[in-house]
Amino acid sequence: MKKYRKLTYFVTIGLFLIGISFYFTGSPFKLLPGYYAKEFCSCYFVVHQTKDYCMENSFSIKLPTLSFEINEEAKSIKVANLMRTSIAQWQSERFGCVLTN
Amino acid sequence: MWEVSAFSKEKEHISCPLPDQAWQEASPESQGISASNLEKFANFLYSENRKTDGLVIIRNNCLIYERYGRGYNRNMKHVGWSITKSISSALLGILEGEKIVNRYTKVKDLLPYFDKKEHSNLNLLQLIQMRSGIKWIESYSNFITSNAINMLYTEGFEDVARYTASLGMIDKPGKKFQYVSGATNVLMSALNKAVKKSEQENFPWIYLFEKIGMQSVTWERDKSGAFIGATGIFAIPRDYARFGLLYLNNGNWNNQQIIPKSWIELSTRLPNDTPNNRSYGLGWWLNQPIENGSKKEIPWKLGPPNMYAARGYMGQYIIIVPDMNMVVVRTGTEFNQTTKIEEIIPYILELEKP
Repeated sequence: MKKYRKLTYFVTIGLFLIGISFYFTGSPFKLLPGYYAKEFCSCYFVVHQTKDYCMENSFSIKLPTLSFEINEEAKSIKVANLMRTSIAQWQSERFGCVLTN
Repeated sequence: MWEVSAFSKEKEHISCPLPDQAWQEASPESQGISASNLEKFANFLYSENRKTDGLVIIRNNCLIYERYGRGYNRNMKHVGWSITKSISSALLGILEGEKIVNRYTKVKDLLPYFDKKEHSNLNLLQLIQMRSGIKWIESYSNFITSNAINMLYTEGFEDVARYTASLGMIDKPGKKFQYVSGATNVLMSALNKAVKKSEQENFPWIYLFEKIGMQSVTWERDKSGAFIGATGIFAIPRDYARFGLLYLNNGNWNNQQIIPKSWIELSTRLPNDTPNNRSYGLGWWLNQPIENGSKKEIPWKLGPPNMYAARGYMGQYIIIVPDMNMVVVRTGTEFNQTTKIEEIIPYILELEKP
């Protein structure tokens, strides 16, 4: 029993350290909300492709996110995962989308 | 599914005027181009594994062919990715012609945060030559270490030039070719500071796009308001063709010299002061010989040595073939960069054959 407790302790610490190092080294998880928000915003509001097309063709890697919100009225895209929430905002016909957060 | 136009013979001309507003269309045959070889070329680009979105072909200033697919039509903009670098280069040439900047202007004189000793000799020409010496990893697939990706989506998105400045230098400026997207972003931030305050938001339109009728352009900016000079352009393929045509015509557009001819010449030949390990001019990919060990090689072996191209991620191309008086624009969505210029060239060369 004691042996298993020790193993659980080490596994937990290990996972924690891996998580921390991923967080501080700019892991893919940290940048995906920004990447998804900006590229989807440009595809949808600048190019005027369909939602399905943009979801299928805008990203070179696809991983699940906690939320993916399209605000048609404000012309913005908000994407969140456990590490970050990003917002891309359409500005104008001339200047397209910008990552604001 | 496909929108295809190979223009009818009704409006035949030997050559066409540069398109101030609408393009003049002409049949391929009227411009000495084989319609069946043109179709073969288009079918190659539109074959199943090549995700081609648009194809526009200009010959003797005439629009002789266009085709769209995969949800695109002629009125839809397409992301240009690094085609943007060729446009940033044009703007440097134009602003030098207007005596607003000089190619040897020091970056630190326009962007004071380039204040480290190692930045002191960095100038605008070195930025567009890809000889900045900036410490950089350029990748669109390695999401962990890529500076290009971190610049756009995490640490750098608020101010892409300032992010690039923060990375420090790996070489002395001017010494070595290294493809650094951040350098072109620094260039556009610097040009933004060089123009009059009243022109800062719109100078690409004032000095370039409006003069050649590129009405569709969107140029995205970072949060600080600086244009993303490396990758921020969106336009319809016909407008990318206008930009290519401006270069084909040595910077002249209907008797107005938009880009100095000397800048076009400088942009489309290899620098002769230091050998490059890539055939790259000022924001343009060239087909001129580069040293590979003891021998010299040209990148696109079948192509004429004076051809050149703007190239963007996922298969965006503006290909200029002066010997054929031709501009080919191809837009695509290929994450694995399936279609290479060297595969396209044989089809282009066949176009003049019966």
